[in-house]
Amino acid sequence: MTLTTGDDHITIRMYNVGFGDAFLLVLPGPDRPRRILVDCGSHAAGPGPRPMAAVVGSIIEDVTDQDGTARIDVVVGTHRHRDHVSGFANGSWDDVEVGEVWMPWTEHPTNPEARRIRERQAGLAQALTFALAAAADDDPAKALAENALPNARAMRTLHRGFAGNPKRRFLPVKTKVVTHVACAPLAAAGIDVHALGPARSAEIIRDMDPPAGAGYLRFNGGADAAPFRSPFGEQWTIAESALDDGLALSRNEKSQLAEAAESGDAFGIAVALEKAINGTSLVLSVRQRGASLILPADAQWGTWKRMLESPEAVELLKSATFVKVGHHGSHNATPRAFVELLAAARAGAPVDDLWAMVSTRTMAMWKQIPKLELMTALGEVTSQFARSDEGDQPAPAGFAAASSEHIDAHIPL
Amino acid sequence: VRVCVALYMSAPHIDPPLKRPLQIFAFDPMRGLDARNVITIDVENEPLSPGPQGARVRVVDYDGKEQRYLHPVDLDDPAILMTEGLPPSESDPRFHQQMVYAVTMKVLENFDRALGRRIDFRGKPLLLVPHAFHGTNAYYIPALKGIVFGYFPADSEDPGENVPGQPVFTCLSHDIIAHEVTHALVHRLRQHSLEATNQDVLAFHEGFADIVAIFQHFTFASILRDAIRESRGDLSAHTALAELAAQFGYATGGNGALRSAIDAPDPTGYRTVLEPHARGSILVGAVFEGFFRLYQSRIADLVRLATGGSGVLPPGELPHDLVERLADEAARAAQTVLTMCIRAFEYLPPLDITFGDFLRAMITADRDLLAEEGTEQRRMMIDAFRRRGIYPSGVTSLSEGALCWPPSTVGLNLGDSVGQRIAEVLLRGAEEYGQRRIFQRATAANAAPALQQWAKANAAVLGLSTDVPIEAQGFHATYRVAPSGRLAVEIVAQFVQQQPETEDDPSYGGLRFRGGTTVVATADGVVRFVIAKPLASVDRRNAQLEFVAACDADDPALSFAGDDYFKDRIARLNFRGLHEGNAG
Repeated sequence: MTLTTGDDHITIRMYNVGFGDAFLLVLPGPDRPRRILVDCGSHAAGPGPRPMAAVVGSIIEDVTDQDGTARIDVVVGTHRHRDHVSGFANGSWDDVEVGEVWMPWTEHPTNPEARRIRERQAGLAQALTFALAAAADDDPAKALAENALPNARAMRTLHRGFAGNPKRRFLPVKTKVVTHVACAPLAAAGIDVHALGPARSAEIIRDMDPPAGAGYLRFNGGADAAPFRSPFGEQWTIAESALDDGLALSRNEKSQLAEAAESGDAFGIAVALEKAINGTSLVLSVRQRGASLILPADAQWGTWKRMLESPEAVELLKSATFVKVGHHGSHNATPRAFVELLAAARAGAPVDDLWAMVSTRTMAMWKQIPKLELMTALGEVTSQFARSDEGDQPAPAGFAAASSEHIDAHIPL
Repeated sequence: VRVCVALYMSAPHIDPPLKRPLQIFAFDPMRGLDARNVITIDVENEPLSPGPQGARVRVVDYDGKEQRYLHPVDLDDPAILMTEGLPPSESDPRFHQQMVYAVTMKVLENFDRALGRRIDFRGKPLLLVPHAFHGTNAYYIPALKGIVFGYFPADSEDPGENVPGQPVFTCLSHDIIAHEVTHALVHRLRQHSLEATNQDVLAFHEGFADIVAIFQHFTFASILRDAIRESRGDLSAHTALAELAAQFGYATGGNGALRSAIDAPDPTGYRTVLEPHARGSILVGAVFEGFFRLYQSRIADLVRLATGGSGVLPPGELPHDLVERLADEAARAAQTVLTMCIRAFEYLPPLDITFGDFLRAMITADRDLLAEEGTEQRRMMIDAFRRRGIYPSGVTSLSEGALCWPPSTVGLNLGDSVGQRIAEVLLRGAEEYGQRRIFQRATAANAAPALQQWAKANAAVLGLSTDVPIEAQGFHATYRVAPSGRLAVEIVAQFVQQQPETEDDPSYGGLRFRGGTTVVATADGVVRFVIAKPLASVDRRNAQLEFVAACDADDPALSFAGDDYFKDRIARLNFRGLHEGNAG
């Protein structure tokens, strides 16, 4: 059944995809409601209660007009992580009419900097996955590496798929912290959109560049895993007993050297790669009349820091009436300074003009997601706070409907 | 230990030479075997056994990956003695051993000279392992008191000037050796210098190590002459001397040298750049600008003389004599600046070092020894730091007077309870420095009880807390000769206090909260400077907690890692991780 909205509020539906994101925004317009879909994906290691195909089916049903055609004004692919885009690999999107597709500038097909970043990220993800092929499925590094693998089918949908020949935008187009996105169909409904990231500055780009990981991958079946041996043949070997006094290593020294010779840190590389791709997250502010939605995707500290240092961005952040909590509730995707900013804007007392939603589920291997302290701090700023994996419990105060499949919020205008 | 000169019954005695000439690559093998890259340097002549193994350095060629020893070089072999060491070769590991030894000795010599005392590694020689593992890394391991060098195949797709897949040895890079040895020396001089208590601590380690490595290029006379000739005297245009680890940079798929000392001064960098190597480069850029300007001001008269007063050099090659004189001036200016940087150590607090502390220590140390004679070099250095936005906290202006640590005026005297120990430490320092021999260390350990008693009695003026034990961590004498001919003798002591319980408090990231004080005194014990990082300072504690929180905010691993990582996430920052993170 079509998801509708009233003239006095925006409806936001958070689908329960497990560890991932899928948000449908329905905003009232003079002629017809406007629909924005932000992400549709789920982590292979953290599926939701329903298969992704069923979630995609629900979304398409929710955007199908009475004439039987599914229509979305804007589809946003915030960044290319599997847990944000995997659903777009589904063939049924071919029949959905889409007006525009928005992606971060790092997805631009020909921009040399964008291509370099994508190639480095993809190359490292592939090499790392290959090197970790033998690791257990719940190995944290392996799970991270697999989430970073290029999702070719899903990305093809975003770049070239959908019905209606949608316009593609790669945002932001300018270097300013806050860039206005001039989208006529949204503007006609009084919807004002700004892109706040990813920046095109050298500092942020550095964060998007994963480490070479060469030390690890070169010797662990990575990209160029030719067998490598010491170039000094056996004639150079000397027995320990033949060494002069004081030259032979102690047992302790040898064990420290054995440790140094062990190849590097797959987990460290995987985490750095995760951060690099999250760093490409498209951050949006969507405003309509009195409502102000902040959609930060999985933006990392570098992007947040830049926003928090810009008075123009701070104005937008402060005015928030809805926040999508970044990166499934992990600590480094929602800075304390932002929570404090929200609290200060409300003079510290919990009031009922702020809604927050986090799409997440607990995972045995990542106990710090969602971050308990962050959830508590948000709970102190607003009591209207919903988790995607708690939809089967009684609907939290302030939310319109909740089930194990999705939770709806009505954000007043 | 073998004696390198044979003695004959009746022949008159020949003193062993003071220096031992050894061949090295001035940069790394990528520049080939021509005279611009292969040079002979003189290192202190000490009794050596195969390894080489000397009093302060022990080279053990053990491959941790393949678990075997390689034949050690015997630098006293007559065939080797006659040819100034083995000729450079990538295929003979014994040359590799010789090169790590020679470059390490050169770095030690630079520290000895600047500090006015002989640095050793507290009795145990520094272990150098030239082919320790397969990998694009080389790093100092504090617990091993050793440096491990990796080797690896050059990038197969983007090897720069290397052959794809050729073995690349980090132990054949002058810069990598000098950089790592400097890490070891800094850690030797400040044993808490690896505890990241503010955003400058690790960056200082990295920047300082680059400074020593790059300035050492300028002590190679033939290399310097070539550079002067090619750049027609403008050293700021000649990048090879100012670049660090070219082969490593190319071989790991980068587009050039690993780092360069020539930067575009950016007054915002110090506020915004946090990654330790990149932040360290700001320090390197500042020190190099100070050097270039000093060099330019020192050669201005030479250039006027050589150009009949116009100061504008004619086109074409510079006259040979001018090249020689310019090279002399460049070498002297480089030595001046390197000495300034190293000497600053005696005036640094024992821990929690910032770039601002370093600037203050450098200016104080230089003014203390040189007085008016160093005004120009200090002004240039201060200006170069200012242009990069490095302002020490707590100073009212960037004038020389305001930057120097305030002299102690309360009439403290170390001699009150440490008297006899001062005489011992003075004598030991003089013997070691003058006679180039290691004696049994009378050491801080012997003097520790008296020092600690003294510190406790004067805790308030020393910025120490009375309710926490005080540990004396250093006690030594330094001997330096000022240009005026004056002999400057100083006693330096370090005191450290700690709160072990913070180790288990997650908000400190696994570090103990520490405070400490460096005391600089005259030979008769009169305290001249008290340079303190008080344990009781609430501001310091808050700053450290804020630093940990800032690290956490930017650390994605916290989300995905287990409790083990969380417990000691700041304490576990080490050189292996630092260098791996930035290998590309």
